[in-house]
Amino acid sequence: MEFYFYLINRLVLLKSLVIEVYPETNNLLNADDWLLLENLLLFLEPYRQLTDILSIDNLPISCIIPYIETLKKTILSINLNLPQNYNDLTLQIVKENIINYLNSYCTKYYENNIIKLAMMIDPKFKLVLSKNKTDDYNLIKENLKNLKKRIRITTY
Amino acid sequence: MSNSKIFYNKFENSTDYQCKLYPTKIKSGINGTTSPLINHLTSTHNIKRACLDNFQCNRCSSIILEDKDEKDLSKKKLNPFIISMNSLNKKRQTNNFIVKMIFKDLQPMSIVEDKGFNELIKYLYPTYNMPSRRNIDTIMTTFYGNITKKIKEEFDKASYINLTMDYWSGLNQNSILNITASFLTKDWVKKNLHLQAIEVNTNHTAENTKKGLLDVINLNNINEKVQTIITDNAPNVLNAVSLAGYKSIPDIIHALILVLKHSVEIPEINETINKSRSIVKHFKKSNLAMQQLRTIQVEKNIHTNLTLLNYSKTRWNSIFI
Repeated sequence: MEFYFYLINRLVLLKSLVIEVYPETNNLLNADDWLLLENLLLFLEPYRQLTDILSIDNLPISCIIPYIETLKKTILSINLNLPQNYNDLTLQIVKENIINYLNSYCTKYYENNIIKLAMMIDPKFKLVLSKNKTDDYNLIKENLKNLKKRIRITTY
Repeated sequence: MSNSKIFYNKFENSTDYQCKLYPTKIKSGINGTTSPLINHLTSTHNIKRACLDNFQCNRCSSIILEDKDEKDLSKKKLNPFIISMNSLNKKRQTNNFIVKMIFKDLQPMSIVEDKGFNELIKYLYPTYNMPSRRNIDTIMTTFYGNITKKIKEEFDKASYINLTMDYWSGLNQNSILNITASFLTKDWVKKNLHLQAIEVNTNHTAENTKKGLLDVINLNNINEKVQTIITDNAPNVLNAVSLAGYKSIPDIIHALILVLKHSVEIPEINETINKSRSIVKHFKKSNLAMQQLRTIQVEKNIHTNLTLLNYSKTRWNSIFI
């Protein structure tokens, strides 16, 4: 399945004009379909923003875990604009799916020691997102010891 | 120093010499040696030291032959020689700049045969002869040799190197394994280098990928310096990296895209999006409908600078987002 953020975004923005020029649109998309598209954009917008941020040239790897956490929180905090009598659960399923897949796909980043260390020694984050602070503290200590062994002391 | 005599006259009552190529007096060295004169000929007139003993290159011998015909060589005669030397260097530099342009701007080698480009060069540098495609090929190989040397020098200075590896497919359906390197210099400047694009004709198994990766690492002699390798989430590539004995960091954007792709795989959404696509397709096919939409946009002043968009296959990001 290929997804089309810009396609939906432009279609929703120009909805009234598109219907005016091409009346067949009303037969193709009913009110529920428009609701689905408009609410789907709420999920896709943070995704679009994040991929733009992650595409920059000099992004440090310390940001990876905080960005995943931010995305999770943003998706969870989305309030869908649906009428009270709307019974379709599709959008709720999408929301749950995104959180579940984020948890399963991104565990490798949480378990990767390089990314974890980079985050913990970054003064912006430190141990704020750490789940087990004593273990993580020991991990930093161990790695610092190894680093000291490897770094050649140079005098300038 | 038999040939060097052709270039100078010795004053009768002194130990000094006079250069024939340019009327200047040159003092002899201690005990009347000719070393100052030889230095003058090599540095000022660019005559090769070896040619003073035996004629080894056409350029130096042609000057000597000219010199034999006329005893007093005036300043005028020397000028063409100097100009030709300068222009030779300039031509070489221009060749190098053209090759650099082909590299940096990803131009085809056939650009040297393009009419417009030739006209531009002729206007800027009338005496320059554009090298043929074959010549560009040979210049390119020497240029490539120089660049690989430079890359090795850069790697020698670096302590830790990070690699990026990905498979690409070309227009001719040939698959290419692309490897880039990034590292910090001692002055904390980040450097990105493109190492190699290997054409892979075999299956993209973990074993074959590992072989290609290790070939590049061994070629540049950076086995111990490589710390991590950034890859996509494909299992064959991840396996190849672990087989080669390195740590891998999977690409985060690719992972996020996969999450989204699987999350919205619901029949209702598929159906709605297909309908939306068919509406956009109608506008893309019909110029009249698009024109009507534009005029209404301007009349009502609603998002006048926006048009309907379909996804484009060339932009990797926009396929999913």
